[in-house]
Amino acid sequence: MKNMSPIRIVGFVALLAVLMTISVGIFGQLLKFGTMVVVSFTHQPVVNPKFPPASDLKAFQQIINKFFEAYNSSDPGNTIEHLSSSSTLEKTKEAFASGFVKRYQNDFGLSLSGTVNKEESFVQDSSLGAKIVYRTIFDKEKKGNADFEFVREGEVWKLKTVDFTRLRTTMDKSGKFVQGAAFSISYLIIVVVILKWLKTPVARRYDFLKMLFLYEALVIGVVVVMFPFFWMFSTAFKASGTELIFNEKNPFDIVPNEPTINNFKRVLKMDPEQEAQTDPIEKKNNFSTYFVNSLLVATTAAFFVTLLSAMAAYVFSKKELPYKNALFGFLLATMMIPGLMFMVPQFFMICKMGLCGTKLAMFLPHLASVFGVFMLKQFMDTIPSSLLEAARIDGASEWQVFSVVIIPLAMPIILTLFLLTFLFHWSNFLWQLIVTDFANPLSITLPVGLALFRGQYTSEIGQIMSASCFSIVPIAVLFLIAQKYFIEGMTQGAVKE
Amino acid sequence: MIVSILKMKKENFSSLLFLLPFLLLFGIFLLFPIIYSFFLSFYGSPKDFSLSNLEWVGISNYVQILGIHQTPAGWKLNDPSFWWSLVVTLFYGGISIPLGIAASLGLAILLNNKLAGKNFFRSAFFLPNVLDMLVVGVIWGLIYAPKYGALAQISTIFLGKDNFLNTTGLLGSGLTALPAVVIAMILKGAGFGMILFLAALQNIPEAIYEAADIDGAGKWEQFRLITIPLLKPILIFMVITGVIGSLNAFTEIYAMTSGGPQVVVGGETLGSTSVSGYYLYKQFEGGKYGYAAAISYVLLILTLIVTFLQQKLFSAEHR
Repeated sequence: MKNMSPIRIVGFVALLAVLMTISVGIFGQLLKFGTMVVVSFTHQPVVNPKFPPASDLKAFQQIINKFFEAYNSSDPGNTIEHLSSSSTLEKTKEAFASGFVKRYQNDFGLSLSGTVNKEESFVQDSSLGAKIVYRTIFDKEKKGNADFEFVREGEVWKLKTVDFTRLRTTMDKSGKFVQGAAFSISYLIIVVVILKWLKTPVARRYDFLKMLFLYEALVIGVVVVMFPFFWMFSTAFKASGTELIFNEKNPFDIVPNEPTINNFKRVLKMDPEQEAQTDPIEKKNNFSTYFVNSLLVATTAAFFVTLLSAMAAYVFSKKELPYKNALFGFLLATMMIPGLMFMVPQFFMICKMGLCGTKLAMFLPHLASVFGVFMLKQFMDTIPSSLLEAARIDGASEWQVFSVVIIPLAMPIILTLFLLTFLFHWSNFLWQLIVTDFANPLSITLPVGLALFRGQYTSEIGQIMSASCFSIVPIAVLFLIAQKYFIEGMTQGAVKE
Repeated sequence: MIVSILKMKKENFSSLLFLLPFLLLFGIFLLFPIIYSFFLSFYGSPKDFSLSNLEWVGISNYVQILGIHQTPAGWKLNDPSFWWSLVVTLFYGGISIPLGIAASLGLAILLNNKLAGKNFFRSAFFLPNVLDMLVVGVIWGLIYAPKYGALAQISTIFLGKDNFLNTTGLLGSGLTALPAVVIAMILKGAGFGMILFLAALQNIPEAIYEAADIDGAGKWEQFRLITIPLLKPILIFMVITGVIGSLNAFTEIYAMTSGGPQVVVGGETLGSTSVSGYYLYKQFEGGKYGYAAAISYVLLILTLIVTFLQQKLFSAEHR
């Protein structure tokens, strides 16, 4: 084994390097995220996070092109090879258009017009300096002064450098500290790992390496699985128009440097800059209403499903009824039918009952849960029948036996079923989508509201993501509190079979 | 004797009372729809989206779904989109079930070690399972987006600007859209299978492996000959739920691809991710209620056949 030693050390160093990278990345982003949330709630952005509207950008681009045209014609010999200018990047669009843009606008008498959509302006066209300027400025968070240098390359002018003297925001000030903290934690971890390595007897160092590798693989797995949600939270704090701008140097750095809570305000219709809603219904047509609707639907449904399932399970487990086993087998067999097959007839029935568009319609067809009965029966089978007999001898009625003996004993599993049913109705998108009456926006639930919102504001990604938080955060918190119930409940059906 | 019969009756009566609310709802909303759907499938589509003006069309819905007609170019399917949606569903299940099992089994094996913080990893991998499918789909749709999506941005540092992820995006091509949806769904759902596999792995006594070690079996042989057979019940469960999941797939497709991108197969333009659930929804959304009912019926029959085959297969393997 002695000749293994150099390989082991190389492996160890490589794993340490990976560990350092992961740890700096994770802690750096998490700490930055934490700072960002605090900053976004306590500090107004130093500059208006609203980027110049797309129309101004197009104009900006046109102006520059026309400026160069004019410049070329004023200089027939085409001897000028180099141009420089400076501009102040400020919060209003007029101020943005000032600096060299406004100056040349006055000089050449150009008017502002034209449109370009947000996505398009990200297309980098090497012949158009202005677009590069646009990109560059926003990548640099649009703060402070910018000095531009243009260089002639044959027929076209190209942007050579942009120099920024940046304003320092709270995020910038805390950035160094955050980074320092992330590095300190990472170094600490590395030191601990090295100490452990040195303490490990040589014979067992190979196992130590394997464990280290295992941990790193798992951590990377968690990062991959959690990335979409972290991205969602980070994007929810990005200002409108900046959602899709990444840190060019490090695309893994996804936490915004200029956070804002405007997205949340907007999806709740609480942003004063939004056009004032006079219509009381339209005013309420926001995600707080959807949230309450979803909460109502899911809670009511979960309550009734649990109650009905418990009653049915009680019969199947503890009471006598002719053919009850055959009936139970039949119920289980229906579980094999994909729920989608019931969509059309259930929709017809609900609508013929005149329930379409009501909250009742959103859960009524799903109240009979065979899964729930199955789950509760499994548990009730473990309750000794002698307990029930004792209660009956004491003169308890059937309902009393059920409510006083069975329910308290089965409480953990009932709670589990309640949570699972809540979850099912919280995310029961398709059914809620088809029975929602869109003429009455106050009956919309969260998933339907999100789908609708996404259809209307396709490019407002920050707002879509902040709206998503209303669905994700409560469930994630609930999961963290009651994960034992969730995991056991969801996997129980399989394990018991 | 009489007293006991009376008691029996009373017992039955109270049993029925307890069962009644559940049975009533079950009968109305799960049993009756199966018959009602059959009845609806003989009606046509209303022109005005109303539910009352349905016109009796006999079996023509079924003829349209399943039949073929002659054209100058030869025999053609009446509704190629339907058959295509079955193919896509098959692909969807065919990719997602094995990959899902592999991912969750892999995670379970990684976690089946003496680890500090095992519970943390368990919870972290399981968490996405409980989150809303639509939201997860929307997020992944944006991550996959070309040019500005997270994946496109990250790929540019490794592959340059001209790479496929940046120009077309995984969801932009008919070839990669379905696998991309599958990957997103596996990352969401792998934790579920992981928990199942982990529980089963922990139930395998260490002594079996030790005995195998003594007999000279290698790690791979131990895995193939001991672990896999002992995990068979879980594997079967994963396959069955995977099949039902593929037939039920809708929200992820709705959120991520809307059935597209379009591909041309045999002269027909078809949605490359239009699984049967999504196709059914599209018919329903278009007001073709009778047609949608007929499709659900055909799918129901197909599901029964698949379930039957599965049971035959698995019970035969058990023996």
